[in-house]
Amino acid sequence: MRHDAKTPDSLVNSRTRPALADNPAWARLTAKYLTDLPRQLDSITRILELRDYKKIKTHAHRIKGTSGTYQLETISRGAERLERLADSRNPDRVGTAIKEVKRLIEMETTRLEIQTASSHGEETNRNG
Amino acid sequence: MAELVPFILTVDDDPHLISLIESNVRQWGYKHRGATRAADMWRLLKRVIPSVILLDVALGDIDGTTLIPEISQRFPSVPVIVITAHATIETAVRSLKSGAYDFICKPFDFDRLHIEIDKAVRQHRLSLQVEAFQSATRRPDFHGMVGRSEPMRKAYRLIETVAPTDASVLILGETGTGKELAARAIHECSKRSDGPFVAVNAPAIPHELIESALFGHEKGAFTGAHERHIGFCEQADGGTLFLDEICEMDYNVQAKLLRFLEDHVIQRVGAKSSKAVDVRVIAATNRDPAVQIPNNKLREDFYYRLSVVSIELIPLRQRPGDIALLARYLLDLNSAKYGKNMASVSPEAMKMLEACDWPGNVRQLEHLIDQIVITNNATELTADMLPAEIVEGTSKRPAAAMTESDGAITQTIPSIEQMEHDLILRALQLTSNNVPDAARQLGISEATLYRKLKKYGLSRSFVDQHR
Repeated sequence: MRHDAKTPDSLVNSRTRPALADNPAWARLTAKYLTDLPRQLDSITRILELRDYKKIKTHAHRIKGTSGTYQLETISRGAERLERLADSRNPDRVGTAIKEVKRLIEMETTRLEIQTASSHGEETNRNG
Repeated sequence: MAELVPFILTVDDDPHLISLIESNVRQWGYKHRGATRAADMWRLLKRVIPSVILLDVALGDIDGTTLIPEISQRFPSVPVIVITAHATIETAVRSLKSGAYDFICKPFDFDRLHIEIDKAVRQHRLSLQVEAFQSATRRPDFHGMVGRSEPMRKAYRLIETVAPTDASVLILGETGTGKELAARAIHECSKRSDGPFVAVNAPAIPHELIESALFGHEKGAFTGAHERHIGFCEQADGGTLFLDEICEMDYNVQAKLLRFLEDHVIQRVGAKSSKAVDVRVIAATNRDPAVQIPNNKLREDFYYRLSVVSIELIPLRQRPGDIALLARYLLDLNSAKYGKNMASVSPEAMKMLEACDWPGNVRQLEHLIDQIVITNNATELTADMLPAEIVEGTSKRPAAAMTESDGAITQTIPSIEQMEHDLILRALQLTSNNVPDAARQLGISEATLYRKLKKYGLSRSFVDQHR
């Protein structure tokens, strides 16, 4: 789904994401991916210390593609920004972009937890 | 050959993406395997051929599109869908130019991926059907004879020309060149194709029984003749009689066959009357008639009566351009026969096969590929599967003096050591490198053969393989 550039990420995401309750395998894999992402971001932080911007670009590029396919579009766009900023070779700007992606990961993790809990609640109600 | 349930191979450096694709692909009813590195992909492709490959452009430091030409060359029927986060025209053009079936941009929509995979699976099935149809209609063989070299084409043309007539044919060629196949081809192309094809291998029949085997006998015609026996000439009535290795036949039997060729009448041993039969005779020899006639091994009149038409089948070493064709043909044939997936020959292995002299001709290559297909489960025939004498380039024709009995003209006299070396190699080839069997064939002990293998620098490979 295309989105308006001015629309806040949180709203876009809630519309584009598939109904996780209807696809438990997807929900399970998304949770696993979100759990692993902070480790990937830590790795990028360490690479930044070495000023290896090419490697940062590669990692950011991978996160952009995979998170987007998981329909975690906010993270995907954050990673895209990081990939672009790696070209600036400015450690401060790259560092800020890394922190931003980390924040988005936390946000998405919380959202997933809420969604999972609410769908679990609905399930319980349906079963009486 | 692909599995019945199509299987999709995803090659992407992110295992999380592979997991997500796998989860979806399995829901769509396909099997799935993943590889995060190019090396893992090649390893997988050695074991099984997928229906579709999803290939990421950014594979660590490797550009995935650079792998496509080799994939397409090795597995031409497998569509490759490139997945890329670089949604540029340049990437798309590069992918399609390198042979990709299609490309899809990350992040992708799974409904779209599902459609693309279904389309590619259908394309793969279609390619397999086309391949099967092509191999059925444009097979590289002529009635089982394989080769596109000019001498082989000449032989095919001659077979097609002579087949509709009833002329006798003499087929000349070294052992393993396909003389019986040529005889069968003549029979199949003739108006006698509905009749019997009776092949007689003269050296396999005891000398004292050959006349009775050819012409038959009546009950009580001689001691041990408990039943009437219909001879090969009579069995071939209405069809073709193929007499192989005629120079091994007794001179007197040749005289009787000459008479049979002239009047087409047989008289069973012990019978009071004769019987007319309608038989076409095709004969073959691996010896040179020009040498055999003066040596009284082949009657001149018999030779001239048989060689109304002569067809010469040249040895494989004189048509090296046919080796690749034959190797692939035999690989397909044996893979189908044994239910294996071996579909190609690596360039390195092919070079070695083409460099070999093939003293045992097509039969030697046939046995080798048969053995490799049986004993390996890979999708490609590689150099490490070849026996040492092929790898080391030592599978050469036996030294000249050894062929003297075949009537070959020889100019050089090899040393005794050279002859022994060649004899050992020949014995190993004939026994598929089985050292105990080769020792038996050579009439020496196994230990002596190992000693000689060591002496001639052949020890390591054979000892490692067979001890």
